[in-house]
Amino acid sequence: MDTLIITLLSGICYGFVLFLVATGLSLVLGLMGIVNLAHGALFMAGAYTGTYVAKATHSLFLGILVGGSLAAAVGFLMERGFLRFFYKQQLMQILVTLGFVHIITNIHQWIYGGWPQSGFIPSYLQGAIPIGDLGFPYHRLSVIVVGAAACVILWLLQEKTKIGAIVRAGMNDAEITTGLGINLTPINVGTFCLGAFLAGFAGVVGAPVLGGFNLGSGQEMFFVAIGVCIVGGVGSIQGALVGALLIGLAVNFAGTYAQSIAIFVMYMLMILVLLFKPAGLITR
Amino acid sequence: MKKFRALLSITCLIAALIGFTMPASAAEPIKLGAIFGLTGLMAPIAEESVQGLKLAFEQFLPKEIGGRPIEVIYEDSSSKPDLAVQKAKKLVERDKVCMIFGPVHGGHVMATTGYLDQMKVPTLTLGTNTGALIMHRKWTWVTGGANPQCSYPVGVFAYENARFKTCTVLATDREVGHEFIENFAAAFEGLGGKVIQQQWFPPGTTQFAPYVAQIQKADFLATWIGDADGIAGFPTLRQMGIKMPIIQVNHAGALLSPKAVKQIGDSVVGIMTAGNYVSTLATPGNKEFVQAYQKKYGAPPGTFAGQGMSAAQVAMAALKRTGGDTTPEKLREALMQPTDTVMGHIEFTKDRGGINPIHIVQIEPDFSYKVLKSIVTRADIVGEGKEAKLKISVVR
Amino acid sequence: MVFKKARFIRFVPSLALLLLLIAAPSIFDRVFISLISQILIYGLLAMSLDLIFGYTGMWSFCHAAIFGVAGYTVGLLFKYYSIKSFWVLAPAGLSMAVLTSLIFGFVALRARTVYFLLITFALGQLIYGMTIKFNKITGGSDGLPDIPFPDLGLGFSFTPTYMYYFILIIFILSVFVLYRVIHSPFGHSLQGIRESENRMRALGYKVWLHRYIAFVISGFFAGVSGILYAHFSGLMTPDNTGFTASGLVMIMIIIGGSGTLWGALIGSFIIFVLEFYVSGISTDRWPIVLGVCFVVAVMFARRGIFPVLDRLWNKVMAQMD
Repeated sequence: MDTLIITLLSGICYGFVLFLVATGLSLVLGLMGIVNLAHGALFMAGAYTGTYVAKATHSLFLGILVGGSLAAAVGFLMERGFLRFFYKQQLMQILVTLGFVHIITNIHQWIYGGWPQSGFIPSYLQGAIPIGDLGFPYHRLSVIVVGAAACVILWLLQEKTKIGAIVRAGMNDAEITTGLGINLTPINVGTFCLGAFLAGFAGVVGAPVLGGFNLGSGQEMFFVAIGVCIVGGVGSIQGALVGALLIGLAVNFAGTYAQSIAIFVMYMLMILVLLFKPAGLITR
Repeated sequence: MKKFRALLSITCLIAALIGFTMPASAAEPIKLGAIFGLTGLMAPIAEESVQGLKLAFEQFLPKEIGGRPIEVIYEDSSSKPDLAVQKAKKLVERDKVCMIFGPVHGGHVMATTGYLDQMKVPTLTLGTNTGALIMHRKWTWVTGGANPQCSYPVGVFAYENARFKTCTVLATDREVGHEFIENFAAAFEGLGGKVIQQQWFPPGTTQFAPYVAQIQKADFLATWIGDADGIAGFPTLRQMGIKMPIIQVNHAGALLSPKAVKQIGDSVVGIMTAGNYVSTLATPGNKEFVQAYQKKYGAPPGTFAGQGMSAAQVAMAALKRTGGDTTPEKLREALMQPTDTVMGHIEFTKDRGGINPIHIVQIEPDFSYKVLKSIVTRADIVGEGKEAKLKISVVR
Repeated sequence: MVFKKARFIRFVPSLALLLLLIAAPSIFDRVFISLISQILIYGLLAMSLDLIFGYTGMWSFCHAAIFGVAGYTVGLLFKYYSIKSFWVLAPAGLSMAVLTSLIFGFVALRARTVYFLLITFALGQLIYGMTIKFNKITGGSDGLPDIPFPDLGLGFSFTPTYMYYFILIIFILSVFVLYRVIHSPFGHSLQGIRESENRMRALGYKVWLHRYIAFVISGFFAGVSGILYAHFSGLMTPDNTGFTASGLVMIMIIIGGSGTLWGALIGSFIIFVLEFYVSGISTDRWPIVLGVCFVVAVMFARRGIFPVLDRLWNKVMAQMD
């Protein structure tokens, strides 16, 4: 029973971290048709610099601000400087963004060295709620709360505001939306930067949930985020949430009840969904 | 005219390609090579190894032997076996190196030493490495001893010194993890202890909570949370309130690097682990080495830096014995002799496996290391053909 | 007469390349020959992928997994059954590769475009996961070492130079077949499917079957390169089968120019030569150079490098007349 509760909580917590990372990827893919391979690198950029600032100032808030903004700034540079020349040319996007993965990763190796780093947990979130003989850390509960709050805000932004309406319209048909006299460029840039910010944000907040991070974390998170987009469906907050929670729970339950196939679980889930609902569980 | 220009440009292209491959001019210096995965998965370990090697050749070892200057050429394998082999070929056939300091990761080592064996180029691995090197290679010196040699003493220590009776295991499901854990368990159970549970998680796991939740009560937890990515396990173990003592049967690089341990933070304090070298050893020359390293890189040397220094010492001692003669057979003979290094006194078995102490250490709250026990083991091949396997025995 | 001359000049680059490749062992040292061998093997893999990637518009991301299945089959048969003869190992490896692509194609062809890419990615990762999971058999991430050069049973043993010519011959034969497939009516209908699936369906083509056959042909040649690779490098590791390798092959095609066949070989050349020489210049900062090269390549050669070279050669030919 204790094991079940811990697995469940841990799965939900991991799910919300995945949600924060995958939302940006999903929105950018849905709205602009860009496969951003460097999304994981943005996560890593946020995690490294944000955690560094947080550890130096003992302020989680400042860390989140710096980490998220850095990721957003790098995202802005990538979009305006390079990717805007390659809308609708997915192969070229793959090459450009992969180039950025190499560059960003190696710069981080240069600055921070290659050893793994631990995440930052503020003093007021130390400790754990006892569950049986073990405990579930407070900061993981706080990640669930923060993730849920972010989810509600993003959902409201998508459904209840004019910007959200434009984004949804742009996903359905960019040409007609532009034809109606709406300039999609600022919306595109804004979405890209928001996605990048969320990835950086997840880097700082989620690092302790992942047990820390290293130079390979960006790539790993990117592949899990792709899994989230496949399972949940591309282009909506609801889809990202469903996909993220399903994968988060599946990975954790496999760790508890099916250790021998744990390595395959996420990919089997992806294949099953692609076979029976190729567009993902939640379609727009 | 334009026809000629086109032909000319093609000729230039071919000439450029040939230029690329021109062998270096006939060499006076004695050349040594080093291949490490300085980028990619193994980057942190490789960086430290190369720092140790560089410092050794810059400040501690003779600059020339028999009037011939020493030159070390460093190459990156990008943690890819393919590239490692290409770089080995480049070092041997183009640069004409006489000895190579080998890569760290198992896959790389088997790939490169396969080629280096054919070319009869002596290869020194830093620290411990897979037992297959002793079994299947003829020109590789495993200076730190084979992997099984490193985890076997941990089993002895746990039963005889720490007086633990039962043990639960949590380890990365990799070949090297099995190598470590199996030999640890063989020693521990051989003396009378009992391994009550084994959990294996896939490489790249970040979600340790389910594994931690299932850990059964035992006297201690033996782990091999390996590879640069697996360190995630320790923070989760601590945060979820695992109280029992933890022994990481092999340091996996990070736990014996002062820099890394500081970055991982409080969650590794109190953990016991084992390795060939820590900066607090009282071996000849170690104090000077630690000081110089601290001055140059801003932190005490980690285990791989010390192993780099030791491997360089072994190589140079061998070259001194041959008087600068670099024929493979002469080098082979010279390398077999024992050498005093910062890691301690290194001897080799006839199968080129190192015999030197394994130190079981505990990480203190100020991130320094307390040596709890040092045990010397050796690995010998028993049996023939397909039945052959390594037998580990305690020397002292 | 004039026509014939133009036609001859058109093939000058290919002939020059062929002669250079044949003469290579007497021009270059063994290090470079080994590099060229690897370029040819991965070039063949990339070219076989281009058949479905560039010509049919199926973005497969499991090509390295099929390559790996063939290579691992060879390695495992050698390791556990001590089979040395190339005439047993090669058919076994090829049939496993074809079997895998038959299954993968059947599963993945339910999806299109980006979704096809994603599902093949997941399928490829299953193979990757298996090579790690069953580490008692496959050697896990340490890989399967010490696979020897092929034994043709002709009473001589291979040297690296023989191995190079062996690879070259198989490469030329395979590329010839791929070239014929692409320029056959079947190949033209594949390109038709890439341009407009609905039109082809309306014209009465069995689109699904065309795709499926193309996928299996491509998988067959991935198997060929996998077998060559296992013998050449002597080592199979999970990294040879995973997303890194699949992505690498895809990058080769994109850099060289997709849907051009030769572009894939150029891409393979560029990637390996960059990797080998740039990493020698700066051992730990070179990925930055590699990344910048990717970005620059995209900014200045938007359709890949082969179309640029092709245009240049056409210009040269035009001026010669």
